[in-house]
Amino acid sequence: MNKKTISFTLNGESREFDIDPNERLLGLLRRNGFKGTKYGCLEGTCGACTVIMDGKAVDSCLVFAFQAHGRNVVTIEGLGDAGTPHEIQQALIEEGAVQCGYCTPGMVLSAKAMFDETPTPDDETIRLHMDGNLCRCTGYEKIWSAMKKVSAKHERGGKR
Amino acid sequence: MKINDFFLPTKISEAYARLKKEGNSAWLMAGGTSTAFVKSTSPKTAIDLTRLPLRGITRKSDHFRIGACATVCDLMEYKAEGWVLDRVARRFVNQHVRNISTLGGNISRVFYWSDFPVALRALEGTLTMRTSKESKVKISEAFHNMLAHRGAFKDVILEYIDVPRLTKGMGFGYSKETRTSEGFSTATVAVFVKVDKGLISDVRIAAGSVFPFPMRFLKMEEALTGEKAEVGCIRKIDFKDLDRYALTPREGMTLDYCKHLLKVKISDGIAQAVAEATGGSR
Amino acid sequence: MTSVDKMKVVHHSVRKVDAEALSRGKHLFTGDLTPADALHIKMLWSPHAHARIKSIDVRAAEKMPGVRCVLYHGNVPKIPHCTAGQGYPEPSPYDTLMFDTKVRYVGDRVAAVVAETPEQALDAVGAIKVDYEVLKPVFDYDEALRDGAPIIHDEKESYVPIPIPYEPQKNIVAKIGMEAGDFAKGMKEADFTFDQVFETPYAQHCPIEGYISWAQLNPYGRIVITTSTQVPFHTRRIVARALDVPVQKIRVIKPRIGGGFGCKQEMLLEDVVALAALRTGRPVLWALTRAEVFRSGRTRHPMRIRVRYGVKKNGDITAIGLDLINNTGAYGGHGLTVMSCAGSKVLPLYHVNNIHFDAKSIYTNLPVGGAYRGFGATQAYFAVESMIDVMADKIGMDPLAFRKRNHIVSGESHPAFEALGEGKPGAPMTIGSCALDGCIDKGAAEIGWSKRTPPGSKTGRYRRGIGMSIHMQGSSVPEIDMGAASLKINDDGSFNLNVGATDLGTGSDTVLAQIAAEELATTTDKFIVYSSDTDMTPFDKGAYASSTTYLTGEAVRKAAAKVKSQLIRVGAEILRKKPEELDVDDAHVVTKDGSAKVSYKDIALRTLYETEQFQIAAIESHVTHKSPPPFAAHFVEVEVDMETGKVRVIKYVAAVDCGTAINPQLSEGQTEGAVLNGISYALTEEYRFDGMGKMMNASFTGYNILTMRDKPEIKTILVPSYEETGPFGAKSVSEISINGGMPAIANAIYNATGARVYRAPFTQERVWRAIQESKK
Repeated sequence: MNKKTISFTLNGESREFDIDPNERLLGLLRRNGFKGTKYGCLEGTCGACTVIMDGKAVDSCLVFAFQAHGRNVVTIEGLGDAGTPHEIQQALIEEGAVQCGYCTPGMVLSAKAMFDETPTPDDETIRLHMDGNLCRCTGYEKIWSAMKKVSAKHERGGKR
Repeated sequence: MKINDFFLPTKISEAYARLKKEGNSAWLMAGGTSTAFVKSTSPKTAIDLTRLPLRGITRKSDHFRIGACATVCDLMEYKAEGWVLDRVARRFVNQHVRNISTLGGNISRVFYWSDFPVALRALEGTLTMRTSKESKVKISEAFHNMLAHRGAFKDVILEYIDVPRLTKGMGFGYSKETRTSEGFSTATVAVFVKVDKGLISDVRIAAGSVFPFPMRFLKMEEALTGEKAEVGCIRKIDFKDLDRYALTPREGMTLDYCKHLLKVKISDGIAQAVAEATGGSR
Repeated sequence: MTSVDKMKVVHHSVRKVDAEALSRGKHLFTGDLTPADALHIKMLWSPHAHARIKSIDVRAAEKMPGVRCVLYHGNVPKIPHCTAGQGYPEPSPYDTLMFDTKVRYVGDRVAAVVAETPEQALDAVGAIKVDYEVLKPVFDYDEALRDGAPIIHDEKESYVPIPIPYEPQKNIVAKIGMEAGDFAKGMKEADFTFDQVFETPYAQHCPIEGYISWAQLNPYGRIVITTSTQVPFHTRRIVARALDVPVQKIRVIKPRIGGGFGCKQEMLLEDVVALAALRTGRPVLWALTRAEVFRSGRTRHPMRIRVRYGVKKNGDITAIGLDLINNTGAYGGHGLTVMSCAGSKVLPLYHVNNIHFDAKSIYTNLPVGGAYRGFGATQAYFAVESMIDVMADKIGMDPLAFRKRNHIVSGESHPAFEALGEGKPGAPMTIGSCALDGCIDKGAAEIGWSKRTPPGSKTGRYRRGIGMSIHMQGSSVPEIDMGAASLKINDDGSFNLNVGATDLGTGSDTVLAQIAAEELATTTDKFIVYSSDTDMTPFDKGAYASSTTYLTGEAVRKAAAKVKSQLIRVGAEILRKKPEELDVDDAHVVTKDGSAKVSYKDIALRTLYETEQFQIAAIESHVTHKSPPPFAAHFVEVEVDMETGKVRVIKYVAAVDCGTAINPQLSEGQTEGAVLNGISYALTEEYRFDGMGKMMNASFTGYNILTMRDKPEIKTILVPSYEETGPFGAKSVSEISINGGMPAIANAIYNATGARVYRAPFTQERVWRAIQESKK
């Protein structure tokens, strides 16, 4: 195996990793303990493995680890603390949008990428940004209302 | 597809030199999403093109110049008068894939469910390639058929895609059929029309998903040219022409229905393009 | 009717106990807990639908880099068992071996490689040499039942553990039926009769977490299996049998589960990881890829259903005949029970005196049917609720009025409850709570039923239509399944609530804590809920048959009541009162007049450390005698493209009577998830096979489950009733709402276009063809 070293910013910290050129970012993250990034389909359809790379939500199962070199990567471990979850996590919890929870970290990150870009998204923007995360438990209804709730909060707070 | 080494060039000349050096084991890569669909047994050296200065979209007088590494998301979010590729981008797989897939990647590796190749066959335009020197290829030539396409993209780095800026009297129709928003397409049609003094002066109709490679319908285009630019012009098309094409029905469709669906999609695309060209809203 | 208004915890949308940790991506799932040094399994799957393994050579594979062992039929125990997780003894054939000399579908097990890395295991799989004698496959209902058809289970070893009809030489897995009144006479009395065949496709559950299990030996040599399962106790029992080791030697731990919907009501991976751990002495992980989940996991049984109905002009239904064939694929685990429920959860919905029900489950060389939310009722409701509209149309009655006129109400019974059981007679039952009329009225108002216009009045390319369907399900398997709970107090007045019940994302841990909190007059956050672990938690049959809230919930309530009486007894001593003068309130034992109180914490400290010490604790079990149905009325508005046949769902309304919704928000969540799954089952999902029986669209992209962008507006209306036999009036909610998608959408398509679809899914082409047909 042709081992190589890459470096990127992970959740705000500069990190170096030895990688196999053929491995995907998902594998790299999980074997380094970032297991909030879930394995779902390995084909870029379900979004359970979503991470944010340079501000955009991507499937870490589709991205080769080396593609992350020099980039800024955020995983679910980079959001929220015990007892004080991120506002998106908070909204999902309050709305009852977390059932099995397997898709939830990916949903949170897709939503974060959206809200960072568009603090008060319209319905079509929500549909577009969230169409890469499959959920089989909720029918998306409560996830939808959580997105609306965060948006409404931004609107009220005149945030960003 | 197995990657056993990678190279992260920041200059086009570096990328090209590496491409020459690696020969058949080079794998030009931008977003990398297509690697999931490519079957190859011999290990490849990935040449990551995303660090090259090839990402922007610029508006020129009669066209847009798109860097080959512009992502589908870039195309979706770009806003300018006469820009239509946002409509194609919106129907592209899902947000995560739109965020990393690039226009260059999508048109240099054509899959049967093709999105941009279909749209570009209808819109026409020019590809700027880097070989030992810079060369320009018309889309109609590069996409003439599968063989021409393979030749056009062999041992080159695609730099820019120039597509026409739609002005008054031009219209674009795009219609993609899928079961779910991120599902594979069962029929994709793109239509470009230009209307002059109420008559169709130029028209290009392309379809994908029902073929292994996106096709143009030259006979239909001929039938429409010179006709009045109104929805009724569709009656001038002899859809029996479709019998000449070897359709590949997807997802359990019968050939009969596939043909019917394509006919409806072509009609929808023409209607949309004509409406736009004759002043209907975009 | 008992009021739920005074309840302080139950009937409130208490925050789900695991939501925050899950939303933060904490390491809670099977794959997150695997040791880094675990070995990996890759399976050689059968490429043939039907073949005998003439010879198999694993020697080259065994010598490959990193390979630690290869398991195949030549080196494993050969004990017939049933992989379906059900009560014991199962009403199912023991027709499965861990590894067999025959393969029966594309995706059947051939040999497992255990290696240091998944890549090494996969390489070694490629080095196994197998010589197959390819046999003629059976893919079709009629072919399976044809005289002289290839026999899929021709082995001598397979048998049924209890006396139920099993005729493998005819490819028949099970038969069940019932007659009531006189069906022929009923058909004669009718003004109009109908005879129609419906077909439903193979479908998969698609939990986002696929099948995954790992096992390791503990220092005492016991096998500890951590697995994504709905049935930890059944899994322990089945693994013990398949491996021929005592139950005592096995511990099954269920961590958080990334969705199941029935597909994990099965022992699917655990026997192999357990044996691999025994053979290698190392932790061993097996995670299926998505393609493997589709091809080798469990599916929803396809059914072919013939419905005959007789109806009078006045709206009386004089006869119903249901003849169904249930394709259970290569193995028969849920063959009997699924088709039994296709009758018992469907036939009782309407008053009909003359009933004929005949059901057969057959083997084919296709993927294996399993439990899937709705469990047979879903398939049968497509046929029955479509025909209700057809009949109403024929007699010129509003389909809503026709349903209201004929549906079952409180106080009524039905012979199917007793006739159709699971390997033995079912439990006779009188309907207690039923708010179906309220569901119909509220749902109709929400969808705008009164504005509905007939199909003939519509014009244009895009036509809208409204359709409806009504449903019932059950709550638990009566007289068969048992759930238990244990509850103990801690120093600070908190409680450990240990249940074998299996929260697979449904929120049952939260719901059960709410039930305990209500009974003990405290709050949900005082409970440390643990589920499930065969060493630590009492027995529970697991998460299936819509039973956790109704069945285990009552066990929890009973345990809490017992703990309450212990608290009151100690409180009486402390407060120097008689127990009859005391009650509980706000985590205290209080005098009924409010003059004195003592906290649970003080009671706990006294009993744990001070005087007359004992552990305040209880363990209680529950078996139900009824399976009270929840009811639902579903309404949907669709838009149909007359040119392409494309159907778009505009709005979906599900009005549900689940008794008391212990947690309304979670009940809505269950309903919405089931509804969207029902919609895609109706419109987009299906298995497509090549001519050799291989599934061609075994990926999420190819299989087409809906995304948030595809989602219509879904409106849930919970219509309260109070089920006297359930904990705080609760019935089930999880399964029922998957049943509406197919019939309600089919009825809406008819209302939009005048064309009716009889075969699902309603692809563009099928709808377009039905429209062309209707124009003739």
